[in-house]
Amino acid sequence: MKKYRFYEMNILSEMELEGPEVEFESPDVTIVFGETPKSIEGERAAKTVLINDHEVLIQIPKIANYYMTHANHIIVEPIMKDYMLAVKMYFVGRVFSTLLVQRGLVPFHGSALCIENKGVLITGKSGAGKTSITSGLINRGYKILTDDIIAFDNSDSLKILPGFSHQKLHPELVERYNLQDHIITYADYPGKSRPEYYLDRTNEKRNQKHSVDIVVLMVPSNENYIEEYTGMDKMDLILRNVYGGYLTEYFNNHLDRFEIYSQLAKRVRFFVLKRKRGEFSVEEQIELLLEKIMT
Amino acid sequence: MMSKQMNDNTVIVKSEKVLTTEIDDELGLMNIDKGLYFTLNHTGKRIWELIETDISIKDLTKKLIEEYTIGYEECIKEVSELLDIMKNNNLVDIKS
Repeated sequence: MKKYRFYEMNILSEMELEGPEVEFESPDVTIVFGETPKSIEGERAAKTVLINDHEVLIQIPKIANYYMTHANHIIVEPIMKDYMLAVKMYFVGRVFSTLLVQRGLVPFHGSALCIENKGVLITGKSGAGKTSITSGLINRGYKILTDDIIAFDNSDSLKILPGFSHQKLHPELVERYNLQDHIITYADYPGKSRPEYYLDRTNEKRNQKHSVDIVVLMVPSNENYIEEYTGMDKMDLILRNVYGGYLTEYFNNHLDRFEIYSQLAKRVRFFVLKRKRGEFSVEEQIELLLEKIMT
Repeated sequence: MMSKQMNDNTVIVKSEKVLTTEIDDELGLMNIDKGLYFTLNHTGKRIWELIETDISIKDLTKKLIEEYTIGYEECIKEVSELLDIMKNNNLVDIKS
């Protein structure tokens, strides 16, 4: 069993994960390989997710089944051993975000970077251009804090928690920014819309908590445009963009999340960055964003 | 149109199962049983403040028309519609 620490949780795992091994006395979450139930009593929260107040069963066809109990024990049952990378990647994405929601945290899909000492969260739906702008910003020397899933502690400080230390990147971006030396592995498996590289993006800021100061929501559009939102619009946008937000009604930890939503909406500046469809205008977007961040 | 449960003399109280947060002079509400969120604009926030103490829909409307440029009929219609939505989402209760 290996010991890791992600999102401030001590994780004891039979499955190897990307990140440094650490020492601790008792785990918060245990991950083992084993047999999962065929079904559980509960509601179908999504096509692949069955849920009740203490169990979650996630079944990814051809890849793996994942069975979580009490938000602290996960059984992983791979279906095809040839796709162990896929088993792991679904785990660190969909399964882990579900675990975070079940534990009362508020995960976002995207990246967090440190820009001029400010914690900047870049989020949005798949295909909105999160990865492109993140890569462009890293290329300018800004440090990535966490990638794929961003979560915050629910203390008063509301800091971005250190997560996994990889970054997912499409082959054209690896080539564009000459990142071949950072490649951990190449991923292409059934159900994946397009192949990706997994890169090692370890840096000195990745193991530390960091303030969150700015949230940038990427939205596909017909123009490049940045707009700041205030008041309850910020709250609405935060609520609508939580990763796995559809799961929140199934877990009775609304109080924890409400506190995080409120604190986030009060503390951050919230920008919507619209991206011109069909054009690779990352540098233009970065200029728009940096101009706002600096003011 | 006021629901059958409510009339001008109905007294409205806040539900005990609601959390609130204020952001830039607007108000967010959450029903802690269901985890459902609602947002109120400046006027909605003022209504929420006025139902801090037991108040009838009629008296609530009278206070609002003193503060805003709106007639009684239009005001009571809009207040009733808002309270109806809030009642249906367990944000307010009717005092019996």
